[in-house]
Amino acid sequence: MPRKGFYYIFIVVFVITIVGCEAPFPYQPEQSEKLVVVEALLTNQFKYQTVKLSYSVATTQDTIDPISGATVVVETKNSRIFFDESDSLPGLYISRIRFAATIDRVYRLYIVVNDKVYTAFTGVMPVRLMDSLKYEYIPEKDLYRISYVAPVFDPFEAAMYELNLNWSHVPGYENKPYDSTHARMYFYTLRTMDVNELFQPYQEQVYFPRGTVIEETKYSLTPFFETYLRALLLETHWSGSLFDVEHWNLPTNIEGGAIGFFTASSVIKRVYIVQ
Amino acid sequence: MRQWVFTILLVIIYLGAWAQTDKIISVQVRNQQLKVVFEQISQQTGLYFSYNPVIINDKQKVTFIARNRKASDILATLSSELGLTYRIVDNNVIIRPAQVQVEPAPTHKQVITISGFVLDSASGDVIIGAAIYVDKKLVALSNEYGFFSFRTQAGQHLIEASYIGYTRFARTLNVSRSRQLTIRLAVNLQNLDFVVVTPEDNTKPINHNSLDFFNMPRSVINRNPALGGTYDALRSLQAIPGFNFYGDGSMIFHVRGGDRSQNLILIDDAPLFNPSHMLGFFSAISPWAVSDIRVYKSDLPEQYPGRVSSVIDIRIKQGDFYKTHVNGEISPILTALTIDGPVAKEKSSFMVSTRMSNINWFLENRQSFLNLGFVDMHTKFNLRPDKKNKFSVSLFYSYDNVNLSRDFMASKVWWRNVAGTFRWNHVFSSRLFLNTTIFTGQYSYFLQFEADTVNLFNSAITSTGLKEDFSYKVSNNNVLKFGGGFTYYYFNPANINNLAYIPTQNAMYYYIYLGDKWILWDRLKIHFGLVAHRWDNMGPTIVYYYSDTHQFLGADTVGVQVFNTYYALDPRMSISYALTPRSIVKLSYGSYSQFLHLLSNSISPFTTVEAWFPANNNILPQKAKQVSLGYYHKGVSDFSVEIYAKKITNIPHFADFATLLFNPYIESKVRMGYNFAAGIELSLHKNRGNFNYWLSYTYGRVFMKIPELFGDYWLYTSYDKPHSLLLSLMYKKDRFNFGANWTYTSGNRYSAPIGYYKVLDHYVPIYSYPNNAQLPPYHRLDVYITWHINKGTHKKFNHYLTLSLFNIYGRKNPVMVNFNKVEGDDNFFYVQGNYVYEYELTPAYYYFLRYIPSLSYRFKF
Repeated sequence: MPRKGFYYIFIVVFVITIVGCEAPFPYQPEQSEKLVVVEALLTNQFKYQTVKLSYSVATTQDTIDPISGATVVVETKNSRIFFDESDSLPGLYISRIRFAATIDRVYRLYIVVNDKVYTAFTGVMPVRLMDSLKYEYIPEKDLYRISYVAPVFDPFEAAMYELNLNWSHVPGYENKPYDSTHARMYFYTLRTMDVNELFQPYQEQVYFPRGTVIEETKYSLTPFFETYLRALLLETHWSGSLFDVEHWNLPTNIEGGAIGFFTASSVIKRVYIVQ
Repeated sequence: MRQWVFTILLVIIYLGAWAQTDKIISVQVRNQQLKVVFEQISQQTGLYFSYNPVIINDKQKVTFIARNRKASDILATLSSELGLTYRIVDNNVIIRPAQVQVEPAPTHKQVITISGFVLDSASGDVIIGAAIYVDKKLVALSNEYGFFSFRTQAGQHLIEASYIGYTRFARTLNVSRSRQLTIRLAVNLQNLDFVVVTPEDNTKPINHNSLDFFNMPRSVINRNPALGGTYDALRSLQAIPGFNFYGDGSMIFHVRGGDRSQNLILIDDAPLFNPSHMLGFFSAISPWAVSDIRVYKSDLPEQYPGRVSSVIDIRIKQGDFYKTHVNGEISPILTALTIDGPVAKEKSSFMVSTRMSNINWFLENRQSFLNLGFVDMHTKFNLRPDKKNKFSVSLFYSYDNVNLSRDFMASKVWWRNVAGTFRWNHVFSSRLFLNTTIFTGQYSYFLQFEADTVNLFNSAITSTGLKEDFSYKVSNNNVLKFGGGFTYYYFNPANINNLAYIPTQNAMYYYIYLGDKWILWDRLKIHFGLVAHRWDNMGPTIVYYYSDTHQFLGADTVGVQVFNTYYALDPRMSISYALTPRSIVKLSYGSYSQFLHLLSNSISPFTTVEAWFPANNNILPQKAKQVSLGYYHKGVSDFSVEIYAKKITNIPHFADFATLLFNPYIESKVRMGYNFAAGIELSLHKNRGNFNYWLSYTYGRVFMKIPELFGDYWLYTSYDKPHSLLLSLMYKKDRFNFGANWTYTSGNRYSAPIGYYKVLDHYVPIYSYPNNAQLPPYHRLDVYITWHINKGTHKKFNHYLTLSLFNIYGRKNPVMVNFNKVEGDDNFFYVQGNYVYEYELTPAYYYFLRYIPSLSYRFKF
């Protein structure tokens, strides 16, 4: 047998046996009560800010029930901003006025759901300029993919990056479904380092054609939100590797028994066109 | 002239006889008449035996095996063991009974002491745990250094010695004064490296001392091939009830509800902090280098303080004092080579044993996303300048690396163990023995993220110490052990590129101990021990202070001075009583302290980021109390049952999502918990004859409380696995060994979500309490066959082939479960990367190691 052929057979056998395989795991969760979930991220952009309210679900196959009819108020200094529920998107509460969160203020959130009051407060951290993202050409696919957004570790600044990609206008993709011509990706820079971050499991790769428009948004993180995101990553992106750590519930800054977060970020944006 | 001719003829005759006795010959006689031994020697040398059959019983059954030895050596050994003398005249070997030394008859019955070492007659290696009998009564066991002593009345006595895998030594001595005696036991097997037959003398009653520990000689270690057809010194411990291994691919094990850091692993008295190779698929201890392993899980010995669950005392082979040997092994996993032999015959010996991974040879530089490799080396040098002194130097080194390159980053971890020991054994008198040990060791763990950068995480623990162990034989029934030692520890808990994000720490550990084992009326044995500890935290370092609620209060920079001290006093005692000559009950109680903590939030079965940390002003030392009651029966099969209860306090846990790396306030994240464990352990095994079996079963539970995190609730530990069973069957037929092992354990416990919520497009799990779910049971069947390729039994070169099949029925044993992945069309599981569309998560589990055939080749000469 050619030496190369022997090598590949060995690699396949070795990877299958030693590195191991994954298979679906039959699991029925215990019965649990539905919890109120708060997703509230204010930014320093002058816009209609939003707060999303929903209930937890037993499995990810279940439909997420939005929370309708809630009272949502954000208070800062002497002003109080009311949020109204969107007509088209139940559970999404939109501020009645446009406003920007600023770094010299503390924002307090009040939510009333079925006569239960949930509160939280947050400040805003400044944001620094961001590196230019990089993408690379993959000849086998004749497509591109993101190769660098930001360092995963920076002892001086934590940040979240949201990339929105759109190639629906690229010839050949005009009539494709929305989720075949758009992508949303998240990247993070944290001031901490975790071993399962370094040995994280395989993550779906997103490939896109020349001409794709990439909108990059960088969010500054408050200390709480940095802690929250790290925990979220430990439970999502980084979980399921061979170097996993103990699992537990994410922290929350919502008082009253709800879960989720209330935070505010300074934001900067940049747009790229893949050339 | 005639005189000259006569003289020359005499010289020629003598030289001829000398040349014949200097021939290299081999003798192999098993349980046959003595005259068969004589015949074999005659056939190979041309010498004829001459003796009076009325005085010399040539029909007595003996077992005598010697390979490739000078005929003169063989004659000397044979006559020594049978209490004979020989003289060569022409071509005749004249055999006579040894002259009984006629000494002045004592006026009254004088008490004398006989002491010495028990040695392997072929190699000169010491034998640990050999039983010494005088007039059929057990009087001593050889200690960790092969030394024994006993007292008896002057006069004629039958002195016997036995040890598993060796021919029984029997000799009648007429002694009138204290003297030294070297007992040489001959291996009664052709090859202990793979033969399972161990015809131990079954006529002797069970002895109290042998219940203090579980002995794992090399013959048992090298009994069952593990993964890849190689033998595994530590993995063999799973045969001991109470030892609970994590599962496939892991060297993590728990003993009676203790966590993994609570097991003290010693290599020739130097501590080993991570015994893993290849993440944990193999152990770093080469089975070819091991002489003997003693395992203590209850009634932990006073001379090995510092851990609260078990002591695994690994003794490295001394090397042959007479002849050079080479052993080798080639398997898909590794290549091993061991060389040992004399430096100065009978005075000094050496042993070098090394193993190297073959995996990286395949993977290196070949575009693989994974690269693994390891190497280890044991070396030992021994010197016996006289009968009262022995010196040895032992060194151990192991190195592992794991490279992983992925789309966005390349990461690398590697770890290294170094351990060295200098030991001096000194016999002050026939009753007082001293072992002095100077040891040093270091375990370092490195993690390099984004491999092309210089970002390098390192954690390390270094220990250097001295210990003095005295053994004083008050009487045959009373052995007093006392001594003490000190160890300097240096901790680098977790830093990057040697920048002290977390201050390094130093500590000094001192202890003294006293233990007495006393057998009363042959039936009752009492053991009492006491260990006094002192632990000093020292500078230079930065000392952090926290409130009771773990809030940072301040920090001090301290110089070279003690800033925190702990004292502890640990009593222990046991009582055993012989119900019959073959059965004993034993009750033991012990209190133990541990001043080292392993801080880790990993649930991985593999070697991962972990930091050894000292007990200090913020972290209390661990304490354990254990009581156990056992019944032991020795017969055709040995049977034991033991029940135990153990409480361990001050076990460190991390607060939720604590940051382990680069966190100077790491101590503020530690929350103390405690474990309560109880269980019953059963063992039934037969080590004699061609068919052997070994059955061990444990039902054990372990629960924990972490009051600061979960209130006053008992929680499952991840290693609460109630059932654990091992059935091992072995059969020897001619040159073949057949074996099968079936392993069954309850599954590991894990934290499973009871719901999800969605934020930032991510499904986030919700948990109820830790370790609320349990994996399916783990079980597998392994089979193997070993073929001794040589047809003849006298070959100088011996070689073997082992064919093994691991997990023959291909059980998919879950190792870990995850709840954050999407199943692709190709049944590949991945983490969602594009959040623009809806997705569903599918719980998935990892499994390893199904249907793994292996062929390994071993040789020795």
